[in-house]
Amino acid sequence: MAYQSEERPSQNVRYAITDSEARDVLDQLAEDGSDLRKRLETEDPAAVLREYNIEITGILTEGVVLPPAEDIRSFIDQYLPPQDMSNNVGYAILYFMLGAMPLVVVDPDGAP
Amino acid sequence: MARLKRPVFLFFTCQDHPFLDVEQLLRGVVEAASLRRVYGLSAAVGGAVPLSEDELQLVLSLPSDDWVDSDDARLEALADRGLVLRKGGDPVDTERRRRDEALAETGWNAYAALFHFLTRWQGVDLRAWAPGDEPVDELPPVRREDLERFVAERGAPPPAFHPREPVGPVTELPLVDGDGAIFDLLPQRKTTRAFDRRRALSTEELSIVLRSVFGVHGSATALPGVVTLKRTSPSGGGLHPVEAYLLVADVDGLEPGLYRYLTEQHALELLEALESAAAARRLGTSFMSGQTYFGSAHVLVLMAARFERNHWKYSGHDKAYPAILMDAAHLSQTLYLVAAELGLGAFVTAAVNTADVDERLGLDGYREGSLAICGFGPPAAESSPFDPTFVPFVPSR
Repeated sequence: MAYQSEERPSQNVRYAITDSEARDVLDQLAEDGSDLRKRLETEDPAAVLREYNIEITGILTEGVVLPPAEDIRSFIDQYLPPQDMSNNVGYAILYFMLGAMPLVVVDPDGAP
Repeated sequence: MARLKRPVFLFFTCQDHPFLDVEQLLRGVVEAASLRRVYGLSAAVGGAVPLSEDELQLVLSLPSDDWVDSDDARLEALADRGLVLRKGGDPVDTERRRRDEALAETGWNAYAALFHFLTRWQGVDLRAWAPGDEPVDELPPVRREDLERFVAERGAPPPAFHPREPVGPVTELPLVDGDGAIFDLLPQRKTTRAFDRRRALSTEELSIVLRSVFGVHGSATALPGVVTLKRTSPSGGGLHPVEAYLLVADVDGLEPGLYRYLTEQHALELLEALESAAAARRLGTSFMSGQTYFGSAHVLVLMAARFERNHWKYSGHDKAYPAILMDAAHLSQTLYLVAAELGLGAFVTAAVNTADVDERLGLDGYREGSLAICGFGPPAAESSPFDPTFVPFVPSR
């Protein structure tokens, strides 16, 4: 599953999806038994993807077999930043980036 | 049939994002592919809107200086997303047209407009990301291990003192301190993050700060109606476009609320009364993206620029917007010094939900819009855990 930045999507695929739509597609593909996975494997995938602003033409669309959901999850973990920032690392990053305070830390005894 | 045109203040950018190769996906293979996307950056929308290459060509096919009739459903869809302007009675369309026209009429530099309107914040609140499942009222301090993780993530910062290889002789300057009140005052300038809730700010203190920082101390009339003002801080072209709106929490003799400082009369006009000091502080904290250590101040000064006054002289000028930001910065430094002289605490922050401030004050954001927030009031006896502890520094020889 090597990722090379020079790789480009096929010319047979056109994307007009937003960041949140792209993330939604990936999250659904990473979930076993999700509605999107079922529909891609049982309906016309071109029509299904069009709902997500992904247009495919001239691509095999019969007998679709999706990769395992856990492989998609691994892809997400490898390439996409976590959405849940409610952890100390995420909070610290946002805290320092967003606020106007200098770099100050509090030790366990409460002293800066 | 719709009447359409391309917005004047519309830019395009192209970015790559990691995504799945959909062709391979349908064959059961996970393969990464770079998803190249074009975005329309619209100052009137205030955001980045993705569009396909076909849609880009459609937008480019429209003029920006004239309306054209079209029954193309794809263009209508682009109008729905704000990348095309549409004549009609829809309030959203009307507002987008008004904004694009206001940008042109008020002399905005195109690049300044792009920066200003795509970097406005609305509803940002740092507290939403605090650890734990329960919402927090006060921002928890960051622990040493958190900063260590931050540094691990980012790497070490560039050194505090700029490391340079000498390229010429170095002349050491005499270490002399100035003599006079200003030299005693300057070292007292500091940012305050904890304010004394046991005592109110007096009306006299408020008046001195406003008169000294935002008050006008002179005027010069070049032609009838062409007036240059003098404040205690410099301003590009002597235009002084920065206005002071106050969010008063705790001042003797003033009810909590939003006020406008009337520079010409040195007076305050009540815009909106608030039910309590606590309500004012909550509003101020939300304006400042959840920075609760600043929200405890007695008074906030919501600095807003009358862009059209600056743009009257500097219409479309590359440096107009930087000059306005500098104006606000000068005023905040003067406020710091005046507060220090009065024994008050002060701060300034640019981490502001300016779109929310504009909306609450009824500013259109184009002719006049908020930039930053200063605050001041009696400081708490104890420092904030967010305050750094500075040790004296002497230049090394």
